[in-house]
Amino acid sequence: IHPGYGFLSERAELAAACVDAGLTFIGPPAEVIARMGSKLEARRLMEAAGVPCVPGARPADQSIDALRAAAAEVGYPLLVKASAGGGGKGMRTVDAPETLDLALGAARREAEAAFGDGTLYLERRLLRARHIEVQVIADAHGAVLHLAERECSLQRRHQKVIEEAPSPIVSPLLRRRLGAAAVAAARAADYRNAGTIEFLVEGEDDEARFYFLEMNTRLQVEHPVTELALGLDLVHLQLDVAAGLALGLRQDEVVPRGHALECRIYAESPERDFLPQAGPVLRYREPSGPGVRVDSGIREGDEITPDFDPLLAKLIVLAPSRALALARARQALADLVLLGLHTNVGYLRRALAHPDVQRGAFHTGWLAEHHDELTMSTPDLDDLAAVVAAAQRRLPAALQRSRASAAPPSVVEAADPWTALGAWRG
Amino acid sequence: MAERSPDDWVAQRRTDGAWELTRTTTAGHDRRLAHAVTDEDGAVWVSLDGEVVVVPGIELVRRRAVAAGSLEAPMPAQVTAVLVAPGDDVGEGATLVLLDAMKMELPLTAPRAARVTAVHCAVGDRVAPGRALVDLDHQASPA
Repeated sequence: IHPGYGFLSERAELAAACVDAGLTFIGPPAEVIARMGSKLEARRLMEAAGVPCVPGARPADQSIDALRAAAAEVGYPLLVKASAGGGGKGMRTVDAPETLDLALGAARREAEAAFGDGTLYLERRLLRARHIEVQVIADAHGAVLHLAERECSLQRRHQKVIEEAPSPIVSPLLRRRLGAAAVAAARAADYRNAGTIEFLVEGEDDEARFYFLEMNTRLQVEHPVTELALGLDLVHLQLDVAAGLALGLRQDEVVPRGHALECRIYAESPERDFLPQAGPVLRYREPSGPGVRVDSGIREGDEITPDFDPLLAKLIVLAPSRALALARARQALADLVLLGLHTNVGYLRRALAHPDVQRGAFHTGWLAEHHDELTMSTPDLDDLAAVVAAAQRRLPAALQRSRASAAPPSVVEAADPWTALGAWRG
Repeated sequence: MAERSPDDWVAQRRTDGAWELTRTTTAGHDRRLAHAVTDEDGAVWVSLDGEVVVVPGIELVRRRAVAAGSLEAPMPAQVTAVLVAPGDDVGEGATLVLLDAMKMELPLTAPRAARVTAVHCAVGDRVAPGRALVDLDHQASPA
């Protein structure tokens, strides 16, 4: 059984149940999942192995009083995180002590609902840090390799939006240091099969400082950027390892052959504070061409409901350089057609066109800082009128009204239920 | 130079359902590719070279003009908490109802200080967009 990368993929119980049933679980052993699945345990293991960690506190006493005291030690700003968490769920940012209690309550409720476990821990929030992770793979014969890094700093509320490999600020020396730390972490965990070590990085290139954040004992959503950048099939390697084969790969053979970039296409409306969207996929056309890959979970005619994660598809491109990869991704997003529900495609295109992103100068808070710029769009209303007229053989009065009021036609008049929603936590 | 108007563009439907827009000006030829599709509410979804815009149908705009003071569900969701009862006075920004959608918590808040006149939902209800959840009377609250 290959558990993918959903909620069951990091449940030790599933791995153990496979063993009991005489099935092969494609991933690490159950006890490794359990150990690394507890963020607290993982940190203890890393500290013992000499891997630097983010300053934090892991109180065994989970009462509000104990957590308050721990927060005072860790210092502000800090993050409240769910021990059993992932994907940004059960996580809250706290800038000052006054908002701590509220954040603890909300994080605990969310963690209990999503993972059945409300255990919390605290971590100092490093400012303007980058999220850089290293792919590792280990076989049953003692070989542990790193497969270079992925740059995942373009995140929103701790959910990744755009990822790339290699990172624009990782020099060959830093790559060796990150790789060595990741391999040390994997060995300390007795790891087997594919996994990822996540780091927070301050600074750039040779002088950068990095800290262990957590280990994901599964394949990640963004694994295709590693596949394209290195010319490897990670899932195939996972199957080989699970079958007991030796990895026929040497560390010095792991060399990037280009630059890969992934855009996650979400059913959400960035203009309405990223409110998840539901609706029918009335039209869907994928972009294609050299260096363009689309991993999609949807088809034209599907009904998108709020019962699932809002990720609809992943667009991944490969090009000889980072600049060409950015250009290829922008063109592919322009060629993509997805109608019937709102998505973040326009937001993605604006992000890729931004000078900071073009230069590779961003950090984990960048998308939040530039939210207003990324959600302002100015569609050409004259061209649109021509299309709508041709499609409907009339010019809708609504378009006339919108043009007169200089508002984009996507704004619905009258009492707007979106404005009633408070700060949406996702 | 003549002002651009929608009539300058010639739209031709392609066999795959897309629209090819062409225009000839003194500067040369322009070509844009668009997709347009109508949803069940009569709104037209248009994708023009990657930019998506929704043009609401007239009927949709009329139907959405709700009675003042009624807060509706903005999207399909499940009610996880009802924090007010009829007769309560609430301040601006007060959380009235908690909704769950895509495993995330969304608070529905009061746009202005008001008195709750009616509650139309209960914990566990699955609500569709447009479903009225809480009625507020903005005049009745003590400013």
